[in-house]
Amino acid sequence: MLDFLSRLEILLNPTVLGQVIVNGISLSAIYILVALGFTLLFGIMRVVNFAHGEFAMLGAFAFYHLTKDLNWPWMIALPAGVIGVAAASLVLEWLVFRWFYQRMFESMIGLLGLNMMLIYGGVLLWDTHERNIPAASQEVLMLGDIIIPIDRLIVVVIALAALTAFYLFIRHTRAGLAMRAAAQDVETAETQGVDTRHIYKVAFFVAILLAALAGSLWGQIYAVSPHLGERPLMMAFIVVILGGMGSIPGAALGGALLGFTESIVGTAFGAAASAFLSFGVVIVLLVFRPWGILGTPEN
Amino acid sequence: MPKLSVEGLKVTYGPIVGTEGVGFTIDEGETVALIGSNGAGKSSTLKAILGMVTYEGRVTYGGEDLKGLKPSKVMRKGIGFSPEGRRVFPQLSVLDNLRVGGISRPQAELPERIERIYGYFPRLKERHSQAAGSLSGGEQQMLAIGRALMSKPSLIMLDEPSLGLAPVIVERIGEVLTEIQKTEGLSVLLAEQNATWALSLSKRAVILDLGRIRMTGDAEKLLDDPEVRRAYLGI
Repeated sequence: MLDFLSRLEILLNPTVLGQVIVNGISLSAIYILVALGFTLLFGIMRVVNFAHGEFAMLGAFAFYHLTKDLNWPWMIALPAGVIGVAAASLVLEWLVFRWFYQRMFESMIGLLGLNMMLIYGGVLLWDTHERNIPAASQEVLMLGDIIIPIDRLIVVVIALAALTAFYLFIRHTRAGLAMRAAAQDVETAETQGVDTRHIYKVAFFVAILLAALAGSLWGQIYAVSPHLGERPLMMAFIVVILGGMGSIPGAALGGALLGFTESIVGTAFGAAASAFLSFGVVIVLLVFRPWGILGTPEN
Repeated sequence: MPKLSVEGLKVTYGPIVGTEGVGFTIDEGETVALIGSNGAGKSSTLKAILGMVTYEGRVTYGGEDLKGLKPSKVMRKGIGFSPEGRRVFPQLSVLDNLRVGGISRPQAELPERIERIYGYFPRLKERHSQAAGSLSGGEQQMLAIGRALMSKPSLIMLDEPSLGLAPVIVERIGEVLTEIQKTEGLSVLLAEQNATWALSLSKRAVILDLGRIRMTGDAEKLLDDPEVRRAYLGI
């Protein structure tokens, strides 16, 4: 018990607290980026994209090669890599994904297969050793006792900018409106003039764009390897179950909850404790409120 | 030349026949009722016209064959649709529901179009920011009709607009429909179980039974026909 309290006490140290907050925000933002795409694909096309994490992995490798091999500055390499991965993924949409639209159970198995293919394709191409993306900045920002690495700050700013852009896109554009309508009732949306085949492609592109961006940012903080996608996928899964499958505000809330839980519990009790707790909460939630915090029950 | 022409329509769902040998026409500005009980083939007929189901036979609109077109393409030819059970987008606001209906039109046109719909259904204006799922059944039906009108159709197809609504509301919707039809010069295809109401709004009617045409003719004459009165009007 004393040990438990003394571990919690660590959090009161301002330096540690600063780290916990910065970590919490950057983890939350990355989880939300991954989860938003995951929930978008489920909400509109009813596919459970078990391969979602691998698009984060591909984003990280694209960023790695563009900065390390081609020496592009990160400000160009990041958007180029992310858009490149999303555009190239449209081939997979045509080859694989479109066959699973509106077929939830088949999609789980099929895309789990695709997940494995992408991981081991990555292993063949890059083998398993971990690589590092050069840091965007080596400098730190001092706010009293709190030390914030600038590259962390850049990650947070980019992630928050992407989330804002996504929100504006969904709320204020014609394609965003079409997506919101299709997410509620695809058949009716089509009869009212929404070209659902086209909207599926746009939603897929946006979802992969967000995942590739999340992967690039993840790679900037941690290491890059073909197994990079596993954690973001697991986290996206927890996030959408916390928030509610198909719910966009739910993904934002779930991501923030998970990111901060991981940062706080992880700092005080270690990563194993935070993973143990997160998955435990998912099981409890699935038993008592399977539609999540902000989701709506399916009938 | 009729605006809409349906010939020898046959829709099947596996071994189940939805409609067979259904044919009729609608002239410009005319209201035609499609009358029948549950499972008579009304919805199958509307779904076939819209391209929501595959069919045998021929559907032409303004002389153009519609076969093989997706619903989002068919509606762009000028066919508005209010589906059975309303099917408003429950979590979208009333305004956003109308915007979806106008998604095929130039953006600049929408504000004026929305004001026009609010003119027909002032209740929708009062509730413009409310989630459509929180509206009453009658209000949802008004929204479904308003949404279908957003695309400036020249034909509107209504699937069971009276279903589950109080008689007063049904009367009100009938009055507004007549008004809308006059101002917009619309053709209307009204699929209904409520035969008395549908016949009172229509010029001609097609009576369906078990997927086939049972009778067809002028609405006034059908209202006086003893067999129709016994089978469909409960008199």
